[in-house]
Formats: sequence, C-alpha cells, structure tokens
Amino acid sequence: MELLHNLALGMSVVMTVDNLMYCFFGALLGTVVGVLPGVGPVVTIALLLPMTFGLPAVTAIIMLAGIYYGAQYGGSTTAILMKLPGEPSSVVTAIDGHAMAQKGQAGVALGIAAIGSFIAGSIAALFMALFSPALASLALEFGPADNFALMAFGLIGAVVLARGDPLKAIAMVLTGLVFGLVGTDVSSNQPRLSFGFSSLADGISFVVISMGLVGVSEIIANLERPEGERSIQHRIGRVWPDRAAFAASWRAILRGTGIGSLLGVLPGAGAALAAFTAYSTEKKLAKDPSRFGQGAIEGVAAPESANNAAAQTALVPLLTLGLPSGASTALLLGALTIQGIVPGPQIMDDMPDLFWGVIASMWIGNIMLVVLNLPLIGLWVRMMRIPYRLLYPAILLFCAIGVFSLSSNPADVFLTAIFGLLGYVFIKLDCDPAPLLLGFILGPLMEEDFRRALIITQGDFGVFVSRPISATLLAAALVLLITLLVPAIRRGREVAFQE
Amino acid sequence: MKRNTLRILAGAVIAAVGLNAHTAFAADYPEKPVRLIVPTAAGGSLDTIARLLGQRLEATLGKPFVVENRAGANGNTAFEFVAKAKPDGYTLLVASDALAINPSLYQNVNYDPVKSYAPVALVTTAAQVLVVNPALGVKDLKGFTAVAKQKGKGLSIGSPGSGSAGHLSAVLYQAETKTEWTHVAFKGGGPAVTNVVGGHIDGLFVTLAPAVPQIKAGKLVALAVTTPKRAVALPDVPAVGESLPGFDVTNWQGVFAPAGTPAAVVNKLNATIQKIVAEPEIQAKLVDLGFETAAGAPAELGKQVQENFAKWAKIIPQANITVD
Amino acid sequence: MSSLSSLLSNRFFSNGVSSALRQKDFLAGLLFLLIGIVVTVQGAELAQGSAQRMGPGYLPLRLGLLLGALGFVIALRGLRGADDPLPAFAPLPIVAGTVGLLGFGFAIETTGLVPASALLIVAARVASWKGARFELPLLVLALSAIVVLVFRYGLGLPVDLWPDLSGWGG
Repeated sequence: MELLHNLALGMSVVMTVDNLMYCFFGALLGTVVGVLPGVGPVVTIALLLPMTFGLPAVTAIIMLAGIYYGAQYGGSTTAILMKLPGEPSSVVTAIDGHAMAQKGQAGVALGIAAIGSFIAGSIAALFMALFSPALASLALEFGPADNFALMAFGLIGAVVLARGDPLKAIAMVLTGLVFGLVGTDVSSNQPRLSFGFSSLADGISFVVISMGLVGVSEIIANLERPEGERSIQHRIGRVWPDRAAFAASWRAILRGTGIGSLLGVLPGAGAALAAFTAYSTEKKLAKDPSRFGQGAIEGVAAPESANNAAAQTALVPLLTLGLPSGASTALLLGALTIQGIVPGPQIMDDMPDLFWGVIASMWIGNIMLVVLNLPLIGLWVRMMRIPYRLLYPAILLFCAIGVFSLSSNPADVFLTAIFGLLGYVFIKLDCDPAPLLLGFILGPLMEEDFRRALIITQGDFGVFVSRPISATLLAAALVLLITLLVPAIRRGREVAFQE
Repeated sequence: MKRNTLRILAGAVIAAVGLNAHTAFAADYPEKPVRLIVPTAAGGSLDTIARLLGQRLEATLGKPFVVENRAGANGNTAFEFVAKAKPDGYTLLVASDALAINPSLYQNVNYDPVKSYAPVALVTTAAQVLVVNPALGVKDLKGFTAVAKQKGKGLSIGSPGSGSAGHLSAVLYQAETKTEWTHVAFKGGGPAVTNVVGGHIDGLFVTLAPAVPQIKAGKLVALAVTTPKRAVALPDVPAVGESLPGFDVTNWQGVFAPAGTPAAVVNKLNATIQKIVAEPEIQAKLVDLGFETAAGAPAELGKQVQENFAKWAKIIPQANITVD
Repeated sequence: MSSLSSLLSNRFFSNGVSSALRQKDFLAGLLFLLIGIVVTVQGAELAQGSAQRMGPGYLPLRLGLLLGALGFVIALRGLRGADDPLPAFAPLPIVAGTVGLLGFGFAIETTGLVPASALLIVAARVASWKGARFELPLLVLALSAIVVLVFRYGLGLPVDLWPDLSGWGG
C-alpha cells in the first residue's frame, strides 16, 4: 500500500520525543501570540519565524507547523471572542462565532472550531496521501481564464452570505472591489486610487481593512451601548460542546472539509474562498437560513473546517509548484527555503521523507492544537469576565501594535482608524462588511486574471467559454446569480404594484 | 516629514547644550541591536537572504540583527527610509538591483542610488533564465528568435511583474533581436512559472529559484541565462551573451548603510559579511535559492550600483516602458 | 420617472424633507454614490484601453459608475421604503476608537512604544471615565509593561521604547 507507506514514512520522520516537544512548543507559542487581539496569523508567524532558524531542518518544520496552526487557531479564537478577524477565513468565523459568544456559547464555538479543524486536518491529510500527484496537476490546469471564472463564482457566493438586503450587499461587494484596486496596477505598474499617498502605493493590507471595518467599529459600537448590552459580556454558559452541538454540526464539518480540501489546492484565491464558500453552502442548505448571523453553530463549524482543510491541501501547490495561497503560506514558503527545502515537481520523488514529513507534521500540529486548546478554552472564556472598560483599551493597543508591525508603517495605523470609523458608519447603515471584504480580496486577482486571459488571446473573449473549467464555473455563477436576483426582483415588483 | 523636523530640532537642542553624541568606534560596534531593512514583504528571496545574513551576523557580532520588512512603493519606501536614517551603522539596507533601476522607472524617487548610501558588501548575484514550455518546440535561442519573428504578437512571454528584472531582460532581448511579442505580467515568479508549465503562456524570463526544479523535471526548456557567464546551477544552459555579445542582465543583492556611515563600521561589517558568505553551509543555501555568492570590497558594490544605474537610465526611456 | 414623482409626493411632502434625509437606505445610497463618484473621477484620469486590452483605468471607471448607479437606486428606494431612520451617532465612542489609534500612529516613531501606548490608552478611555481616577494610571502602567515585555522582549519587535535622544547631536 503506497498510501500507508507514505504516511508511515512521514510519521517515522516526525515521531521523536524532541520533535513532538517542539511541535507542542510551536503550537503553544502560535496560539498564545495569535490570540493577542490585532495580531493575526501573518504577524504571528513573521514574529516567531526566527525561533526556528537554529533548529535542524525537520525539527524546524515541525515547530513551524505548530506555529502555523497555533496562529490560525489563535486568530479564530480572537475572531470568535472579540470579533477581530486577522485573516480572510476568520472574517466568516467571526460572524456566527461572535454571535454565539454573545449568547454565552463562546466555549461551544471554540470547541467546535477546534474539533472541526482537527477532523478536517485529518481527512485532508489522508486525501493528500491518496491524491497528491493528481492534485498538483489540477493546480496547473487553472489558467487565467479559469481563475477568473472561479473568483466570479466566489464573488456571487459572497452575496448569498450577506445578511439583509441583496442590493446593499452587491454595493458592498463593489465597494470592496474598489478598495482592492487601490495600489499599483500589475500590468502597467501605474498607481491608481492612491491619491498620491506613497503608503497606498502597494495597496491596503487585508489586516488593516478587516481590523478596522470589523474590529475597531465593533469597539465603537459596543461603547455606545449601555454596559449590559455590550457584545463582549460576562455571561458564560457551557464551556464544552455537547452531543447536540455535534449532532448539529458534523455534516457541516464534513462538507466544509470537502470544499476546503478541493479549493485549497487551487492557488491564488482558493484558500480564501474556502471558508466563504463553506459558509454560503451551509446557509443555502439550512432549513432556516435566518439563523445564520445569529449564532448558528454550522456557521462556525463549516468555515473553520474548510479553512483548516484548505490550509493543509494548499501545501500541495506550495511544495510542488512553489505557489503560496496567501500571506501566511508565503512566509511558510520562505521558512522552508531557509531550511533547504526547494519546492518543485520532483520534491515528492527526490525528498519523499521531507514531503511526507511535512504533511505528517502538519497533522501532528493539528493533534497538538486539540490537546492544547480544549483545556485552554476555559481560560479564554474566563478572560471575557474582565470588565470591558479595561479590556477595550488593551484590544485597541494590541491592534495598533499588530498593525504597525506589519511593515513598520504608521500609515497602516491611521488607515485602521479610518476604516474603524467607516465600519461604524456601515453598522449604522445596516451594511454587512463581509461581502466587502471578499470583494476586496478577490477584486484585484479577478481583474489581473481577466486581463491576462485577454492579453494572451489578444482580445478573444471566447476564451472564457471555450475552456471547459472556465465555462462550467461561469455557468454555475450565472445560475447562482439568477436564483439570487429572481426573488429580489419579484419582491421589488410586488412593492411597485402595491403603490 | 514631522519626524525629521523633530529630529533636527532635537539635534539642534542637544548640540547647543554641548552634549557630545557617542561616535561609533569599530571596536565597540555594535553596541545595540542593528536593524536590517528589507524592501519586500517577509517570505521573498531577498527577505530570506536578509534573514540568513542577520542570523549569522548576530552570532558573529554578538548583538541582535533584526530584519525589518518595509515593503511599499516597489521598494522605494525602504530605500528612502534608509537614505534618511542616522548614519551610525545601526540601520542597514538589504537591497537588490531594484535600487538602481527604480529611479529610471518611477518619477517620484526621493533617493540617489549612488550618493545616498555607503555600500557595505555585495552578497550575491543572480541570473534570469529564459524558459519556454516544451510544446513551443524550441530547443535553443536561435530557434526561439525565429519563432518570435514568425509568431510576433502571437507569442506570449510572461514576467514576474511589470518593471521586474525579468520584464527588463525581455525588453532588452526584444530590442537586440528586433522582435516584438506579447508581454504578460504576473505577480511573482511562482505564478508566472506555473502558467508556463501549465501551457497558459509560452515562456518567461525569471529568476532561477522557481524555474530550476521545473527545468530539472523536464517541464520547462531552459534556453539561456542573462548573465555574461553561465550559471552554476545550470551549467548546460548557454548565456545569451554567447550569441548576442554584450547582453548582460545581472541581478545582485547587497548590504548598504546610509551615506556618511563611518568607514571603520563599514569595513568591519564588510569583513564579517565576506566571512559569512564564504561559509559552506550559507553558500549551499544561497545556491539552492538560485544565487551565486559574490562578496567583495565595498567599492565593488558601489561600482555595480553606478554601472546599473547608468545602464537602465539609458535603456528604460528608449524602450518606452510605461510606468508612472 | 412616474415612481420618482410618486415617491417625491410620498416622502418629501407628507413627512418633510428632513425626515427623508434621515432614512438609513437613503444615506447608505448616498455614501455608495459618493464613493462611486470619487472612483469614477479618479478612474477617468487613467489610461482606459479597451475591453480586449484593459488599461489601469478601465475597471475603476466602470466600477465607479456601477457603484454610483447602484447607490442612486438604493437612495431612491430608501426614500420610498418604510420609515427606518438612522440611529444617532455617539461622539465619545468614536473619539475613543479612532483618536487613540491616530495618536499612536503619530507618536510611535518619534516617542517610542511606551509614550505612544500611554497616549492610546488615555485617549481610548474618554468614552468611559468610570473609575478612571486610580484605574487609568494603573491601566497605563500595566498595559505598557505587558506590551513592552511581550512585543519588545518576547517577540523582538524592532521598535524603540522611549524617545531616542542619544545620537541627535552628531
């Protein structure tokens, strides 16, 4: 059995007392730093990277795996408890996770996130062991036209995910696309919408916009409420998920795992889309979609599982093609190269011990995460007992330092404040920021791929329908758009007739 | 702006009071942590060089060398930051040839690649390699030029970014061979290489790191490297210069200090970096990353910057690369 | 256009202009319209190219127009829809959430981490002075100590703790 052989090889590489200790140590550090409000996974990994440099290659990678998962899980923890998303995927987790925390179910949300992540990570590891070579070629099949189609599909999904009025959700997606275009145009290298500020020449950082729009605005909104109604409350209900919680979420975990495992393989937007798509799917399948946004447990289980599965399968393009799926995997890639692992198509044949060692270590990292975090949940939840007037200055301060440390640029802190204010205005206007953030992530990628597709074919629009992948995805996007718009138009007509 | 005014004010006050600031003596240097400013985000190959260097400098000189990523405005943010930093040896720049190219590409560049810095040490040089998808059916540079002439705009050649060394190599090659193809800009070498392997574009000028594994796996055909000599990592691939005499695009990576940094500090750093780069373990890692080690005296780096700056200031306006 | 006149008669004349201007959707629409206009104007200044070969301004111009148009529709609908007034804005929380961050940004590179942190905490607490007399200095001390320990010493963040006065004379 090649599958068993590969996994056994990977396990034999990582299973030493030393390695397990470093893995635990990495997961602990990653969680503890990642849980600091304002310090997202990217900053966590960048700050902790140097600690792995002095270690032997395999040990370093195992510790990195711990840091990587720890940072991601720590980030989800702050997203759930304080509504501070530091990564695209935690934007989605924050929606229902924080709503659960408000209802006194923070422990259940954190528990399901940890368990869902573990299940997803384990299944994804098996999936990779079975299909890695095929997955690597799938990533190659996606040309610019196909990437564009995938993202168009994802963007329309973003409107499904939005709460409330679809017209406003579409306007928010467009606003996100516009914010995403700020910076330097990839094809012509010209600055656009940067209003002459050199700090905007490289565009707006995701951490800045999401901390501001979602996190800082939430603090402002909380402060104007009377103390009893603040979203971070002293109320603590059940700390552990019970049987009913599992019964309600196991399907979501499995679906999330499937979606994440597939999308994770597609470099570029795949990993970012995973959590959004998993959430939208659950909302579409739910008998009562209105529960979403109010603390639906599937709304936490699905994106967390999808995210973790994607984080795992994203290793395939990372290791075989050198393609990172986002800022944190780009850092991971740098760390791997420092350790002498040069990604390439032959890595599976030339360095099977390393390839499978990395995958096994990621799985071990997942185990460590569960072992470490289930007991910690009680501690995190208890932190919510700290009076808000002591907590929020700390959150703001950590946010400021976290954002500043991205590139030591004070302008990033200013922008966070501006987006905080804008986010507060959006709350007042009943505009949900989640579609804006997805538009922000996908906008520039979509534009680039659309242009590339047309530059390559010298202006032949047929490329979008002649390629099977692209045609299928665009057709799916169209169907999704129609199912979305028809009820809205019908409603609009009814209103018109009434007048 | 504000910060500089404050600095000048405070400086004037301190000078008036008659306090004498400590002068950095080479024997004592470094007395506190040193910042290594990197003009790219964490995770890229220049960042990796800086981190490798920083780690070894720290071990050798006994004080932390902290890598600080100041990505922004295509590197110009970091270049300007170091140009204006205090020349005491505690703020250093790890830069690539973008330092010498950017002034020709962008209008608002507030540093002078030659005058704003004290060169410390050249660390590495690197070649770009022209790779094509095997389906193009081209085996050598001559065949490539023939296909380029025949296909014209139908040939799509990528680059890791507009204004990148890969793009400039392509521009230079087209000018020298009187060819004109379609340029497709990507964001980074990894995605660009993948698109050639996947057959979505025909070829690419790119740094060695993302290309070599694909070349070795037979998924890409390497036609030529852009350095005057062949690359150590690809001994069988000819240099473009072998058929087009004088063709030379050499990337380099080096360490700079702000102009006015005491020579003793520069020399101490230079000697230490030369020793570090000569370590076999470091050398092996740099070669894995697609670089060739090239540590030398500070003046060598200065000469490299000057020549590059002059060269691109001439070529870029001629080639009419639309930037800014 | 008939709907336009009908909504004008509905809202403007029956409830008065000021009530119409406080509609949530109307204001949301205005905001999108405003962003759309800014983006359209900026986008129009850049090279447009064609759909086949888009210039840097192609997408911004069109997105701006689309966003502006959608904003206009949302605003109109807001005038027509049910009464849904914008809730009041709270000035102190806004100051608390943003001024501290702005101050931190201005201070961090000149004064170093500790004064910048103190500034942010004090500014943040304007929204809740309760117990501030003793609590605030303690909070400043405790949080400054934590961030210095965690970020500067624990994680090695390259940032000065205090104003750097050492070498400014020479």
